[in-house]
Amino acid sequence: MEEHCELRRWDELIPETLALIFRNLSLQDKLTVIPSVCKSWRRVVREPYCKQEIEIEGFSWRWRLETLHRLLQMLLIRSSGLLHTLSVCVLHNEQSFSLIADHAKSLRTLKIPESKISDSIVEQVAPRKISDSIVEQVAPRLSTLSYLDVSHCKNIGAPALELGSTVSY
Amino acid sequence: MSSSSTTTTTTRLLMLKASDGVTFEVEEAVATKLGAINNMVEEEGSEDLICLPNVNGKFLGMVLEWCKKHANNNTNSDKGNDEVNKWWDKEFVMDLDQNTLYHLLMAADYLSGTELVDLLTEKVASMIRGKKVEEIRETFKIKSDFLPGQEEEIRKKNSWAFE
Repeated sequence: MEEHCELRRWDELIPETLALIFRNLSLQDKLTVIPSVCKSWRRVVREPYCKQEIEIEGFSWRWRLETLHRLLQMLLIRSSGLLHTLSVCVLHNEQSFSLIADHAKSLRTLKIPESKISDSIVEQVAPRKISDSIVEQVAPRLSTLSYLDVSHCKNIGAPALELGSTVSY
Repeated sequence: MSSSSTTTTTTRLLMLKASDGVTFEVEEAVATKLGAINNMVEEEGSEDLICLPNVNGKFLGMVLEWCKKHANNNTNSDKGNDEVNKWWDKEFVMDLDQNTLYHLLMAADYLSGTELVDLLTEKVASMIRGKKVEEIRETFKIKSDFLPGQEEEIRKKNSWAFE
């Protein structure tokens, strides 16, 4: 067997290939485990192309509002505008929604099902619900969007869904 | 059932040459599943021998074996084929040792075999999932290159989100 077959440096695998491996891991693994393994893995997992797809769906309910917002902020900034798919189940406030829109240059798929907040939480933390007005306000910034999932968002009505002819529901 | 890759009537054969000189004669329909070969055929035509200086015979053979299997499974357009492919994929990656997995992934990536790359990267991910940092290093024979205090600092950095 050739000599090069003896060498298999997983820390020296080309960054794009490492990114493809990391794509299959959970957000928690990508943020808390992979960066501690070695410098090259850390570098790759921090690259914007590792943040093209962000999925915090399914377990975002467990985060407190500020934590989720802070997490979103960190991930969105690191994506450097390359983000094309974002899933966040139960988005709590319009501030987070606006934040997404600010980093949505390449966003094609946005899934924010069940984004609703109870009256008591609204009174405590947000002046308004994620409602028609906020969606109308940010819609022009979501011009690249081709898939939007706002299922079970009870506070979003028909006017907000008229984002543009290209958006499918 | 209009097509069949098992008959030789209309199938063109391509000759692929690996870095160590090993050659493979493969049906064009099978080889062009690989993006890199498809591009070469489209750009240069398929008359000549296609040289692949970055893949050796062992791994090129394995990539082509995977392509052939999938091409054969897909000739019948039954819906059961997805299941067959899945089952076969599972078998294919099950017994791969780490060295083979590494080189096969590099080969599949170089040849732009997207589906195979997906399969192999998922296999590697499954070897990472659920493990602690030290266990991952041990599995992949990676040495920590952080300074003593740096590692702890990195560990703490994003943990706030999951506490």
